[in-house]
Amino acid sequence: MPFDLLVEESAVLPLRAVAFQSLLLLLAIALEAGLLRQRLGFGFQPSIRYAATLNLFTTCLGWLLFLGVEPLAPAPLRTQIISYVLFGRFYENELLPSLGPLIVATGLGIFFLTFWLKAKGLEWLTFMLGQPIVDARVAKLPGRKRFGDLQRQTEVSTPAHTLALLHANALSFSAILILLVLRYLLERAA
Amino acid sequence: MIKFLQEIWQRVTNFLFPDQYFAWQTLIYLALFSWAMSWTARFSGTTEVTQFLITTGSWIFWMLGVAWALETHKIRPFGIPIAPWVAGAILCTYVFGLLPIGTVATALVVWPLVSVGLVAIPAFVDWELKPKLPMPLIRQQLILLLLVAVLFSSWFQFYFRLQSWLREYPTLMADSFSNSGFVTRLSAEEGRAGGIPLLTAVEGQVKEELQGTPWPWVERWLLNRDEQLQKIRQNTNDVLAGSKEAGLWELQAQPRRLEDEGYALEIAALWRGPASDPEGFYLEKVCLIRPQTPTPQITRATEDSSEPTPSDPTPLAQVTCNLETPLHRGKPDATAG
Repeated sequence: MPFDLLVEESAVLPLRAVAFQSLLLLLAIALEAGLLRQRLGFGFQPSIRYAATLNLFTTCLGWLLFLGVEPLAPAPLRTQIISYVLFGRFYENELLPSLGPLIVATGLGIFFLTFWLKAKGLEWLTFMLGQPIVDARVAKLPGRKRFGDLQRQTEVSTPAHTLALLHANALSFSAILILLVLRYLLERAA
Repeated sequence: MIKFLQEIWQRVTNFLFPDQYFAWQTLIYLALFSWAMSWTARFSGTTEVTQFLITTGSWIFWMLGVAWALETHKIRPFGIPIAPWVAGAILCTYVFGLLPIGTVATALVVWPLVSVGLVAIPAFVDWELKPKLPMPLIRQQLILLLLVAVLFSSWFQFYFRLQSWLREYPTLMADSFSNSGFVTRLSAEEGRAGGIPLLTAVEGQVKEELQGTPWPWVERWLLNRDEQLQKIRQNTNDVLAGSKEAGLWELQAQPRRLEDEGYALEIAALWRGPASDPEGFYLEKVCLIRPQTPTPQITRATEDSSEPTPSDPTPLAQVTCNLETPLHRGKPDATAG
């Protein structure tokens, strides 16, 4: 019965995860909205809406990825994840020495994956809202090759929104990283 | 006074019997009617299909009626229009609670998504049930709402994942989660470490092997205790079979010579899994093994007191174990002996 489920069995609730995630999301959305407004010239409200959509989008995909992959992970890795979630630290097992590089690699992977997802997501979102940020027809238009085309191509090959999102993503990731390090140091001191 | 009562009466009738039939009250009455009818059908012994159809109708009327009522009366705590969420909750309660599919967990996980679906349907379908495309701003809001719903659903899933972790590794419940950045424990109740039943089983095995055996046998057993412990560990493996902890508990034993005769065997169950304390912990059970000279049997003594008892009977082992299994930090002392 639901009532038993919520009182007896489950005195352990992911309340802190919900609180921290909400705070970090608000921070990331605020930072990225400011940068998008500055770089891409959106209005106040659209830039906040876009930033919120993109960040929620990547967060949701991250959750689905975690929830899908976690049961498939080998037992030593699973218990390390459990240890981090429940106790905030890793414990000593055969995986411990390789965890540091693994975490750094995963973090870098997540950074570039979210950047790519946000760049694509902004294209999809603006397309769905009827104001596509990249005009799909321009790219398909066949043109005669002329001298200097190559140079011009390299000049315009990175669209402004991709660059802006790379900066925005770097900004929000750095801010979150700083907060996490601060929290770690504060707990160390306490 | 009479006027006041009249006014109240007027309000109540207005509330219960609206001026037009196109109102939420109609749906609530329909729900009550079909609910009553479903019981009538049940008592008059109709087929399952009939009952199912009537009950389903009742729940759908109930859902629509409640949502309509909340929407017309503009009941919006904290400015959130809760009508679709309540309607989604009613729908999920019906589908996963009363129909024989899914569980409470699936109902909770699916609930936000169902609610967003209920919000989206009127935006994409007009009153003639023809598909339409909503305005860009509405589309943007629906996308945001969908993402928030997926986030809520993930949080619910994470909660259920946590519960399954704690079921798979029950020892974790005995630890403190104060350093966690993810979870909070609401109850003060501590769990039961999986090492306790393990040590109880080990105690049974040790008693079975040593109780009443000749003393030299005991000393030999204690000398190659590591081998014996391995055997005991294999025999007691099914104690932890219900969880995934079997590989995370390790047994150690140290005999300590007592001042008088005998040994105190300190059996430790070391936890090799996640713990809040960096040094880990272990549970300990102390068993006292004492030699005991077998007393001549009284019946024999009274019957035939002239017969001499064997001059030097081999002492037999007597095993008593402490009931409690105290929890210690760190690792057991390897030097104690």
